[in-house]
Amino acid sequence: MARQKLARVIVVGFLFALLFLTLFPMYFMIVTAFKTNYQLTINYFGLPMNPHGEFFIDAAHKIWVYLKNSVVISGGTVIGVLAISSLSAYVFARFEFPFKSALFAVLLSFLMIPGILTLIPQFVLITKLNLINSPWAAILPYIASGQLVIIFVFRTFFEEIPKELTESIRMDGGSEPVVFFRLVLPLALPIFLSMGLVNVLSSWNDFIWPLLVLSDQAKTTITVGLYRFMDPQQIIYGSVFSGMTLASIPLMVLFAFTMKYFVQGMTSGAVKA
Amino acid sequence: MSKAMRNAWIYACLFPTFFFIGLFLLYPSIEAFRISFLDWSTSNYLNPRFAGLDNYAELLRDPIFRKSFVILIAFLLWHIIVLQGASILGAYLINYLGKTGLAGFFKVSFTIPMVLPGMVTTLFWLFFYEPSNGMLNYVLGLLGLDNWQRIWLGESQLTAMFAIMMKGFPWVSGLGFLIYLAGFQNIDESLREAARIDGASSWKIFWTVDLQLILPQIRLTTILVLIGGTQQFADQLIMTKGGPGYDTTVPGLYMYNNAFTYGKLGTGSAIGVILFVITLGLTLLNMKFMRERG
Repeated sequence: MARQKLARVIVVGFLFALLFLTLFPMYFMIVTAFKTNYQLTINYFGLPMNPHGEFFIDAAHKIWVYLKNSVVISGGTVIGVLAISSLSAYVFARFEFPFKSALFAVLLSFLMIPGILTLIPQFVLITKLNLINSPWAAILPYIASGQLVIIFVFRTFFEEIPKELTESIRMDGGSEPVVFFRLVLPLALPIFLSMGLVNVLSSWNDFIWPLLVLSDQAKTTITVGLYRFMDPQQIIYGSVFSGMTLASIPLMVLFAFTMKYFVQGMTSGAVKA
Repeated sequence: MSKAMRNAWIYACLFPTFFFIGLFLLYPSIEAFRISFLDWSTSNYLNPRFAGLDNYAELLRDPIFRKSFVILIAFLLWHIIVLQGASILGAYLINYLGKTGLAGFFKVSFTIPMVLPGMVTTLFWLFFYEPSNGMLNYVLGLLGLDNWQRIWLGESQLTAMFAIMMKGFPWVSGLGFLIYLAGFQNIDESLREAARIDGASSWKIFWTVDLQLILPQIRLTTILVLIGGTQQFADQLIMTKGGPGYDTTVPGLYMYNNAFTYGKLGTGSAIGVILFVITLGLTLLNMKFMRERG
């Protein structure tokens, strides 16, 4: 028994060490945001002695526009994806119609088309559509590829809703939209949240695509904006780390309240890379 | 409602989905193949010329392209063995704590960095390796190991590869971690108990019970890493730009550079098609495994 206790103590200690290393970058980011370059060289790891808040103001001015663009793009994408996916998934789950399985097979086959194949032609297409530096340049392709896994997950979920429930609403004279909006959507709310959060995270984090299609400094996303923020010539570390800290806040706040759903969404969406 | 009317409604509901697929996925996929057969660059942007398989032939002769696959394989192996090993270890140890509050605390805490914007993490590591003020050289200086200090991202292939590979240490956080933790937690405790009664050590139980029973998860994440990792090149682009020289250039980055830096859209597309064929093979393999799993 004593041996087991000892093993437990070692495991807990080891996990705390791993956790320390995992979270250390976040600690370092936050404390460095308050330091001048000189303070960083004399007090590298410690808490700032007399913290400087001005870097946050400087960084906020610079990244505000990127944050706004990212919110528009990720928000537009997730709304579009959920609307389109739920409609299609519901139809696939509830109705029989000609070419149903063929259409679903087509849909699934696009799960196997990797983003790397379509990167160049999509860029050419967006250029031809004259959408470069418009938020739609990101939103539309994100919706196109984001919907596939979600339709797949939603369809399974909708099929599991008992037929008796939908029938009882129909008996009361409820039309199909009533069934969809009054019964199915409320039931599906947790899974909407799960898949929505995963979708937000992936569009928010995308780097290569906005780098290509949102090259204008005023139109680009937080990911690209932060990257450009690292001016290699004259780095003011306080500003850089302030920018990184500020850029982390929106997702942190969003996920603080929804972590459970996010974890569920991550694991159920794992069918697609 | 008549049957025709009903079907019209159904197809109307499906229209947005298939419109998006058609315009942003199907058309670009076909275009990728077409462009890969063209001699098309910024110098003849308005007059692309049909070039047959020239782009492919050129790539197969290109030493940079061939080397990029060796580099990619090194990154993938590292990812599959070391990064996955770390997530398995982390998940196993948390599961070892049982259903305690402490286990829940660790699970949530290790998930936090997943919701940090990816670029923030990458920029931290870029700073970590920075030659003059970066953390690694600073710590080496503190320890009196000044002659170990390096221009990590630019000095040699060895230091640059090492630097990119070490990014994210200790690698417990992530999708793999969540999948493994769920896998371990689903194992019936009575199986471990039975092994324990037979006198097996914790070490032996780990190898013979736990690891065996999460093999499906290991297979799944391995394939996800292979498919995702073959396409991934943002770390290399941000941290080393593929350098020094072409020493950290993976095929995806070479595609990106061909198309958007050198302006050779035809060559870039040909690389895209080659990578597509590879990931398609891996995806089909994945589906085969999934089907076996039921």
